Amino acid sequence: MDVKIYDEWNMGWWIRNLDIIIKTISENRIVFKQPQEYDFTNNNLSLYNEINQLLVEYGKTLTIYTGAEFNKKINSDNSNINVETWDGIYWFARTNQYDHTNYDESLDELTPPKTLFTTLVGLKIGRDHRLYIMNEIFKFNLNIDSNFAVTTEFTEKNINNLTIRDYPLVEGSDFTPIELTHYEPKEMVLHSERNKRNQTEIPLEYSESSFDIVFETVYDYFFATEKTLRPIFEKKPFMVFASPNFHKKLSEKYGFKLYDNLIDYSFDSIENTRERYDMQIQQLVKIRNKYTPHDVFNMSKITSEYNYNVVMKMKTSNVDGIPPKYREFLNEKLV
Amino acid sequence: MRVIINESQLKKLIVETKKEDFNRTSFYLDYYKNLTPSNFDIAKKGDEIIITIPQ
Repeated sequence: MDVKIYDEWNMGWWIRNLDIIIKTISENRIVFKQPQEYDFTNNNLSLYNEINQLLVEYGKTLTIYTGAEFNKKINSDNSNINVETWDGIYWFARTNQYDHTNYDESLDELTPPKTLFTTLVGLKIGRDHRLYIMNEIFKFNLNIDSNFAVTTEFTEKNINNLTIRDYPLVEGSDFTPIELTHYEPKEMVLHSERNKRNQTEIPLEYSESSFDIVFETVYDYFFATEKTLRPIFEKKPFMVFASPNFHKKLSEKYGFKLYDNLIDYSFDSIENTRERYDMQIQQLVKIRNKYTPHDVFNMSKITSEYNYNVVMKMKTSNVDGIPPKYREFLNEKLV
Repeated sequence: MRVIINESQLKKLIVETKKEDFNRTSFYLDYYKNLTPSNFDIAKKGDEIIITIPQ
């Protein structure tokens, strides 16, 4: 069977072009490989049903390799669609997503940081949950004396109708409006970024902070990206705003150690998004109230060192978690 | 009396027990204590949290 493989890191591109691809290409098997992304329809079952009808009509099949966990009903409900997880965390660890970091240099001589919290976050349309988190951060003044680098797509014109979903979904109340009571989206530029701001280089102030607050991409299914791996590569403690049981999976599935002496992870199993995030914020409040940046540095450095070794092993080991049948698609991406 | 349960029943029991561990009202009592000035009175009454603002 002829195969046409697509490797486009652009969600909008998939949505705009899928229809025409199915209708026009000569190959019977269409493969989207995107271990760097979550499911490109955001687990939209009705959209998948439409795509499947089109595939059946044109006698084609679609395979999507996604870095995230996904709704298994996509596969069971659609005869010509097969979504498979190509573990994103291995993809991000193994590929050149960290060109800005020189791993040959020893990071053993870390300087104790002067500032407690840092975050590098992009506020994007469609990622409304990040605004909920920012609002809570500002509500509890966690932004004060912190190193926050924030880019935003939001303007006065497009900031309407922000929503967050609480899981597990309750019928009739799946979208909840987000009220920005304490936060107005705005660019936050760190001093070192003023003349050379970009999305790949880690600002100097990041290294001068003790603790990374990570805003992950999605919050329904497990999906760990470069955002989660950044503090691990940089030997920094972190907390991730993501899906339920996210930290548990980092620990049990990938072997990372959690920062139990700093954080009570009981929030991790809370399925309701806002309640889980509210609990996470209170953990940050506790850290802020109890510890200095230096305390956090000292309390976390053994675990951070351990996690760094885990991710470096993941990056260099032949046992990379990527199933052999995917290797045909790896091309030049592996280092 | 012996009660035998299978693995899936045990898992369900563990999950339900974990869910009960999260006391929403107690959590938000502390949440609002952290949010309000120290002279505000925050009290729990059943499932309600009452914030009394000093005169």
